[in-house]
Amino acid sequence: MKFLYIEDDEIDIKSCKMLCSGLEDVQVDIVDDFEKASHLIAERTFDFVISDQRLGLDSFEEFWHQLLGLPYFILSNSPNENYRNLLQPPLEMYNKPITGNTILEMMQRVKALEPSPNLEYAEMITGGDKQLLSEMVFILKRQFEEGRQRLPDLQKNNEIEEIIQVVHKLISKFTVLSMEDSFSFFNRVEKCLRDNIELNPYAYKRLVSDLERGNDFINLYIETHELHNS
Amino acid sequence: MNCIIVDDDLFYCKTLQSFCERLDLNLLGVYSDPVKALSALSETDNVDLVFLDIHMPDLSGFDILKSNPKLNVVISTMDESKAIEAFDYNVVDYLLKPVTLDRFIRAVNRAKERINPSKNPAATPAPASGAVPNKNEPKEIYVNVNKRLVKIVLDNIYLIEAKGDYILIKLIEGKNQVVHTTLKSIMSKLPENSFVRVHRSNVVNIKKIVDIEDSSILIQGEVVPISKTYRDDLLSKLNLIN
Repeated sequence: MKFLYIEDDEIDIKSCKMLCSGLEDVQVDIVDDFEKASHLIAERTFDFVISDQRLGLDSFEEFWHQLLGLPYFILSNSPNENYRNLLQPPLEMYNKPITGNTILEMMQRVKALEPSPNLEYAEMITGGDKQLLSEMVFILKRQFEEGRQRLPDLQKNNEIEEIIQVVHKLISKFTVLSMEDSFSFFNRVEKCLRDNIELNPYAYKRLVSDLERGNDFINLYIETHELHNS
Repeated sequence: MNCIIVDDDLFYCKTLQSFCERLDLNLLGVYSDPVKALSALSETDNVDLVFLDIHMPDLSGFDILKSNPKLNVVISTMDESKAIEAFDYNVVDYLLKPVTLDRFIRAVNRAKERINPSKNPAATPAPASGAVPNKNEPKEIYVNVNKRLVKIVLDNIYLIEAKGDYILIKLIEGKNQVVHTTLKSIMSKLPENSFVRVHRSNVVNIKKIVDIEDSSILIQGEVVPISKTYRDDLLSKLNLIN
């Protein structure tokens, strides 16, 4: 797993480097200000982020939306409980100093977010009617494909209202697929856009990748259940 | 029961259609275009119940509600933030997508009760309250209506609504009364075991509650919203079996 650590305290940085060198399959990038962190998030791929809540004069409150779509943790001497009320709150808040167990616990929390999609809802609605199930699954497939195809162009042209419409229509479909973390993410994206909060590049990438993931599952389901588009 | 579905999302049209078929509801039409639905509604008075989405292109569910205030409507949406606004239109129920069959059935039962309360046993006052009757509790209050003191038997009240500087006392039998006072003031005169505030604008008689959903109460065929602030207080006064 790869994570980004946002920290300006030299002792904490050294501790983190030392701990990560002793853990298997863990990579860490460390930056000491929020602006650098934003650039890195846009350029590279991280599984999660750990952030201090204050770097010099800069506060995490001004930065959190850059993490939209990325799981993150707050690590601080006295974590600010108000962060639990953010639109996207931290998965957890820890007191310093960071320990190896803390990092392992964070990794487990992030792994637990991995979706295990299913179509039990569609199966329940259709009550064993295979033709109806086919119809519904192919409708879902079309909606996921359409969203995946349209979003990059809409982003390029900055058509925010259209993006909101596309996102809104797809939010509840993630619940249909039991992809609850994607449901929460799409929900947050809609709220941010309606509040005129600009999405970070990572969030746009994640919108598309979540749709691809949903679509891949639907395709697999169609194949394994031998469904046909009527 | 004659129904129509208005939803621009084909997936949910199919879902609700499937539920209607399972409940043997008579589905008169499925409209993905709200403009066509509005036009169809203007041409018939044969529709008993409408399953209505809120966010649709060209016309929102609220536009349809405004044009047809007497319709029995079950909202089906994924936007939980519109519940209070929807109940201002006196909707039958508010379903969050994706809708489950169980929840759909309860919404239809609520609609049936509203359409024909006398034939449904749930319409009789249900012993929903866990409150122990107190012999010393007042049985009636007197309110000032046009300089007249009018007696109201407390057991006859099912709902009290705030209306600006006035309150509307809704009665099971007889004419509803409008009184120049506040909810806070009348609450101080009512037995707290029997009456509970469920929303900044509503006080209900616990004994008259038929059922309680996440965000609403069914009482005397009316659906009343519950706000999060008052929900715990309401639950604490019920005889709940956990």
